[in-house]
Amino acid sequence: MNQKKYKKINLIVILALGIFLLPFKVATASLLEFSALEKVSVNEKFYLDILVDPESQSINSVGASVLFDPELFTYLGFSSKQSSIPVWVEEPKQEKLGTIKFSGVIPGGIERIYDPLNTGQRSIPIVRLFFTGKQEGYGTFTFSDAVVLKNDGLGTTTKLSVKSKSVSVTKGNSLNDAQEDLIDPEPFSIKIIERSIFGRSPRLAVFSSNDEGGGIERYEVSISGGPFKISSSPVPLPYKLFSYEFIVRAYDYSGNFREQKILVSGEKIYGAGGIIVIFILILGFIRYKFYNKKRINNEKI
Amino acid sequence: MIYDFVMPFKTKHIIVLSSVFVLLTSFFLYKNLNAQTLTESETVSIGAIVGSIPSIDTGPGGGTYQSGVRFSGLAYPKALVTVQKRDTTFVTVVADETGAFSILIPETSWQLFTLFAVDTKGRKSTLLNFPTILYSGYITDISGIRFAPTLVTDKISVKRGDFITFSGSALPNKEVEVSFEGEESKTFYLTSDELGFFSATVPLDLKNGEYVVRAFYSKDSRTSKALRITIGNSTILRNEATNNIPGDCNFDQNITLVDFSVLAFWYGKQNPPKCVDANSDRIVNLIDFSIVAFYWNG
Repeated sequence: MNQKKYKKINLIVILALGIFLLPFKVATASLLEFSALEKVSVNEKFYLDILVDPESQSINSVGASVLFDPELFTYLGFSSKQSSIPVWVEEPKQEKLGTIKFSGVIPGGIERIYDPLNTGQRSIPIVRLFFTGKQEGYGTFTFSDAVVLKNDGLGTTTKLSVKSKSVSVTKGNSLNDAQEDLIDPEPFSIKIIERSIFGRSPRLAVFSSNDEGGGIERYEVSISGGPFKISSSPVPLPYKLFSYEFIVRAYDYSGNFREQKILVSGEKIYGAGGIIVIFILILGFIRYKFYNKKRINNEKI
Repeated sequence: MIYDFVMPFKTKHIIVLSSVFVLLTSFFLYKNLNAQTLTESETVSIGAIVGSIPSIDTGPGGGTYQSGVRFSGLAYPKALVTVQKRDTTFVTVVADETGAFSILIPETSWQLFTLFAVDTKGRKSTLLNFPTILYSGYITDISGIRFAPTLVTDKISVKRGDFITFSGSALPNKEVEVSFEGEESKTFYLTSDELGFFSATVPLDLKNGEYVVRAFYSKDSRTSKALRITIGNSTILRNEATNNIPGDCNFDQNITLVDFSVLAFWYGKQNPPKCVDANSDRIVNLIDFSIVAFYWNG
C-alpha cells in the first residue's frame, strides 16, 4: 500500500519538475544551429546557413568556429547578403584547414526574425557558408568556441546550446556543380579615419567589399606605390608629409578582384609641423651663410 | 520501514510535497525575475497582405513594386522616423501629433531593417532591428512597434546631493520611469505633457559610484539610450564632457562606425588604450564590441 503511495508521490514530483523546469530552459538559452541539409553529391556546390535563436532575449554579438572534415568538404566562401550581422569583427575565414572562424556585432540588438508566412519561425540567419563535396562519405559540421552575448551593455554571455549537422556526400549526379565564378567583388569605398590629437590609435583606412559568389577571401593593399601585401581592415596608415596613393584589392575565393584607390593627404599636424621645421632650417641656413660671409668679409677688411 | 517508524505516512507526504513546492516556487520566481523578456506592453504583430496589393511607386526612375514591408507604430509627436537598410538611409517619415507613424517600403527579398526615431529636440532613440523575410506578391505588415522614450541629462558627473536635470520625449500624457542603476537603485516617475516632453530636476542622494540611467514606459523592457552618470566629489556638465561612453575614442559623445574601426584596430592587441577596453580587462575581445554596440547611436 505504502509502495503505491510512494510511486504516486514520485510521479507527482517528476511531473511537477517537468512542468516547472521545461519553460525555464526555453526562456533563457540561445541556440546556434545549421540550416536543413542532409545529402549532397560529389562536386556539388551547396550552402549551410548558420542560424541563431536568441529565445526572445535581445542579443548583439555572435562568434564561433565551424569545424568540418577537409577531406570531405572544401570551403568556397560566404555570403553576408542574407545576414543579420551589419558589422563583422572577423569575417568568416578558414583559419586553418577545416576551421572557419567568424564573429560580428549587431548595434541595437536583435530578438527574432520576422517571417509573415511562418510566424513561429524565430531563428535568425547569421551567415551563409558555401562548400563543395570532395568525395563520397559522411561528415559532420560542428561548432566550437561559440558565444552569443546579450545586448545589455555588459557583454553578458547567454546560455548557449549548439546543434551539429551531418551531411552525406554521395556519388549521384549533381544538379548544382560548382561552377566557375567569374564575377568580381562589388565596388566598395575606402574611408580614412583621422587620429585624435592625444589618442594612441593611428590614422586608419577602413574598407569592406562584398561578393555574391562566395564572399571575400582576402584584401591586399599597396601604400604609396609599394608592393601589394595581404592585409585586413582597418589598416594603420603611415605618417607622411605629402599625399600618397592607397590601393586596396578585394579578392574573392575564385581569384577575381576589385580594386579601389584613394589619395591620402599628408597628415595635417605632421605636415604643418614639418613645413615649419623646414622653414626654420632654411632660415637658419641662410642666416648662417649670411653671417659667415659677413664675418669673412669683415675679417678681410 | 525506519522512515515509517519515525513519523506517520501522511505527515511525510505533506512535508515532502511542501518542500518540493517551496523549492520549485522559489526557483520559478527567481527565474522569472531574472529572465530578460521581450517588451511586455508592446505587442509587435506581423502578417502578410496578399490579393489587391497596392503598387508602391518609388518615383521617377524607381519603378513600381508589388512586394514590400509596412512598419507602423508609435514614436513621439512629430518625430522623424528613419528606416535604414544596412547603414543606408532608405526612407524618413514624420510621425503625427500622437506619435503614430506608418512607412511602406518596396522590397522583394530578405532584409535587415533598422528603425530609429529623432524627437523634435534632436534626441535620438535606440535602434530597433527587424530581420525580415519578404515574399514576392506580399506586403509584410509589421505593426505595434513602440519606441522607448528619448533621454538626456545635463550632467555626466554629479556631486552627491547635487541636482541633476533629465529630460526627453515620449508619447503624450504617458507615464515614464527614469531609473538609476548602480551601487543603489532609484526610479523616478514622471508624466509627459501633451507634446510628449518630460523633464525633472532632482537631487541625487545615492551612494558614490557609476550609474546607468535609462528611461522606459511602465512594464516595458525596451529602454532609452543608456547614459552613464558618476556620483562622486565633483559636478561636470555634459557639454564640458570629454568622454564617458565606453569605446568613444574620438570623444564626440557618439558611438559610430568610426569608433568600431578603432576598436577593430586594437582587437587582440596587447596594452590597448583605456577607451577601447570597455570592461577594463586589458584585452579587446568580442565582449568589448558587445558593450560598445549597446551604446551605438551612430
